[in-house]
Amino acid sequence: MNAARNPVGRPTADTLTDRYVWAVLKSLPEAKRSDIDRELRASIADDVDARVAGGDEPAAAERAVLLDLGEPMRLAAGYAGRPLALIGPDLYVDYVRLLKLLLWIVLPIVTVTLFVINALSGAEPGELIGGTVGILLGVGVHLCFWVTLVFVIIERTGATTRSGGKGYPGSTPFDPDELHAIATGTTGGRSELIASLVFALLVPVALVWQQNSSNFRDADGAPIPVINPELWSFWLPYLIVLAVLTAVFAVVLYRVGRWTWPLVVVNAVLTVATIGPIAWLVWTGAALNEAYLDRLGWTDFVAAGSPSATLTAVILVGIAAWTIIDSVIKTVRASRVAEAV
Amino acid sequence: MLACLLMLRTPQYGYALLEQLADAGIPVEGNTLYPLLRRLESQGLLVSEWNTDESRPRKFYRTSPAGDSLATVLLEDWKNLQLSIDRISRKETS
Repeated sequence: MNAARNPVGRPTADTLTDRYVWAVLKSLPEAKRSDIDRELRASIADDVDARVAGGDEPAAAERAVLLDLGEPMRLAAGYAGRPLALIGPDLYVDYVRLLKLLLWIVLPIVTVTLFVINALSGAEPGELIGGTVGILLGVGVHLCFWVTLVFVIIERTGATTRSGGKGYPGSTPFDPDELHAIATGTTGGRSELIASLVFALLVPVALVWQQNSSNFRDADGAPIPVINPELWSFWLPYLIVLAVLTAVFAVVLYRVGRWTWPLVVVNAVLTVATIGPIAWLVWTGAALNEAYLDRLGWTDFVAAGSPSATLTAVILVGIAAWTIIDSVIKTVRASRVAEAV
Repeated sequence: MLACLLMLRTPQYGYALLEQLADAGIPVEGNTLYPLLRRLESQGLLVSEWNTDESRPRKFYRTSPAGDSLATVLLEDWKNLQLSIDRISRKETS
């Protein structure tokens, strides 16, 4: 029985058993093959003999034995210690968590970026929405695919480091603090999230839109933008990036479900980084386009250090201060709720 | 698995072990047992050798000292579990 094989274990004879054994062996590492080959054949032969001794036809007995052993791939997986799932229970929770988080972060960023790029190139609204939806689908599918692929690879290669179902080293342990607060009113929840996202989307769209369309046109017929076009060299792209970061922050805040001190710090940094430059630009009179103001006859009204410019800057600083104070109050309230529970 | 470790204190080969287990009231599928034997061997709980004395060469497995001490521990756990279940069922019926 063992004579009719070449070194890698591929059978030269072609009985049902030969086919079955080869179907099992071909997905196993070569080093293991010959031993498993001999043992599996002996086991099958023993079983066949037992059934023949019990009065079965040899051919029928062979069939029955192979049927009992079942799907060769499953048996091979058993021999190789391979999981029969793409992503097993040890990784599943991390997989779902990461996938959700990535989709929540990446898709909004892509949406905003696409709107800005398409709007800059002067696309029609229909084109804009259609193109965005198409690319979003593509990005979503790519994201899901690559994340899944990475997890499948971890599942396959990390299978030997499994430690009694406690998860892989480096996998996130469950922390009760991460449970979402249930309607304690510490964050505005979904509505606040949507408001933040829409705002983050509107900022770039509005900036781009005002650049390309205006109620005033210059001598060449080009639109005169409201915002100082020189700011495109740095400040406006900077503000668009911050709007996106603020949107990401809103998503994170929504996911956490309540204000925490690290979130307060991040929020304060974002607020100062956004409103600080705006207030400065307004105060120094650099925010708006002088050509536009000339047309309106408002040049002196909003000039550097003028009462209205100062007042606007002060109001902006006030909004920033309130945003930060508000988050501190909510955090204190949330930690009191946590202590009371 | 515990049954394997206990039974293989006397050397045995795959198919015969399958029959022995079935006779002992523990029916196991071959496609579960054969990979299990190899895994226990790779974990050092079983040792194996090929017996080529008979016309059909067979791989005989035997419980290693490590497998033996693990079997003792597992057996102890099993007995404790059984005692606990017994106590619970007695409380339920009385």
